[in-house]
Amino acid sequence: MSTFWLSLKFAMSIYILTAFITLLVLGLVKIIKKITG
Amino acid sequence: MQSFLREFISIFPGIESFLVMEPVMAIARIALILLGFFLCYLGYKKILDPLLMIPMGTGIAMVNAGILVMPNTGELGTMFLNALVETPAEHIDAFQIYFLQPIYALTFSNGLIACLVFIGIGSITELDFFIANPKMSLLLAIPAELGSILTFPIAMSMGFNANESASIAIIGGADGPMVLFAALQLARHLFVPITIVAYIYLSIIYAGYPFLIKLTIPKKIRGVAMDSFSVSRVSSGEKIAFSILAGTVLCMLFPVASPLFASFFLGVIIKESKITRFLYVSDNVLLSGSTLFLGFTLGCLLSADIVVDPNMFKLILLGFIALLISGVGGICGGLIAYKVSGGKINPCLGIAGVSCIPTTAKVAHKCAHEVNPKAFIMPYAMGPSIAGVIVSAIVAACYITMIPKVF
Repeated sequence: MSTFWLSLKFAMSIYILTAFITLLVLGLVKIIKKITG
Repeated sequence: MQSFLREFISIFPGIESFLVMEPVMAIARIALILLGFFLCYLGYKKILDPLLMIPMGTGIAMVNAGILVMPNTGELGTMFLNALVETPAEHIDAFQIYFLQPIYALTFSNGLIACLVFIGIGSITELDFFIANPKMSLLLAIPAELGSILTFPIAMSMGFNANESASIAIIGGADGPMVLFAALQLARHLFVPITIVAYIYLSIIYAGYPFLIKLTIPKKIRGVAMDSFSVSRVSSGEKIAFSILAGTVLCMLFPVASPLFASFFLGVIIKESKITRFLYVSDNVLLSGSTLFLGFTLGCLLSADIVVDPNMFKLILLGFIALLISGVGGICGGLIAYKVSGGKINPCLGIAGVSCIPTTAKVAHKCAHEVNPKAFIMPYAMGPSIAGVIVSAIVAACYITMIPKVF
């Protein structure tokens, strides 16, 4: 596989990880809003 | 006559140095001095961000003018700073000669300057609209990070290694301190050109992104007023609770980027705690002071040998590609949000997800306001803009953490 496709695969895994952590942050906001009413 | 002229020129070492350097370098030096003047002019006219361009332009012009044959080494150098010193002993010697060396050694080498800017940014950040609409804010910020992702393989295929490619790709996050911090962590040898390219592009964003919006979003939906989109009130307690919790979790997940997370959320907590003395320090002293020295020191680091490096052209091209892809990604996110919300969300908000707080939020508002004077979307745009800062920090943290494990 060429450098481009290998590095694209890595970059997309970074993107998925970022999206997952972002959803975690979203969950934190939701929890705080629920606790503080 | 010729010897008299040489004797006369030798009185002025800055001019004499032109005669002892290679012609290409001399031409690059003159070009940089002119670039410095031009950046100052653009900053003064407020065409580019004056807070950075005036100190940076001044630094570029003056450091390239003040080159001399150094009495201690016999090589060409300046009295500003020496970025090549490494050992503590060399630093102590350098402190006695170069006036900016203490600032460079104590705040640039370890990324402290980026953290100081981040404390300041945190202390002026309004989290209200982000916490009131976290789903919209964060979901708009994710597509606006596409530039940070897709530029990585492009840079790799252009011959940069993984560390260099990630540092360049982070320009797509449109966050100057983040670019500086990541470049220092991943590709220290390229941090000056990468950061300067990033800051110059970030200044141009305010003029460039409106064209992108006009090209991609139909006029009739650019003016959606968002009146029906309610924003609930957010208390200081909620904002402090979010900041301390999110900061702690993110620091735990990515310890390598914890200085950035800690600095940003500390700034927010200072603001929301309403400790006026701390707020004065973080806003007026830290943010203004560190922005001044960031711009000036970066300018002083831009010497002719960096500009004549063939990689410089690639960096300029990749920086442009990164911000263009992020802008297009943000707009696509905005258009999807518009469709999904049934026309309630203004699609211009998508561009606000490209971090660069508050510039992109202002761009989104400006574009909507031009079409419909009743459309006041600035408060709504601040949510994605703040989310953009958080998401681009997460991307940078992922790159810094993952690259040593994979490559």
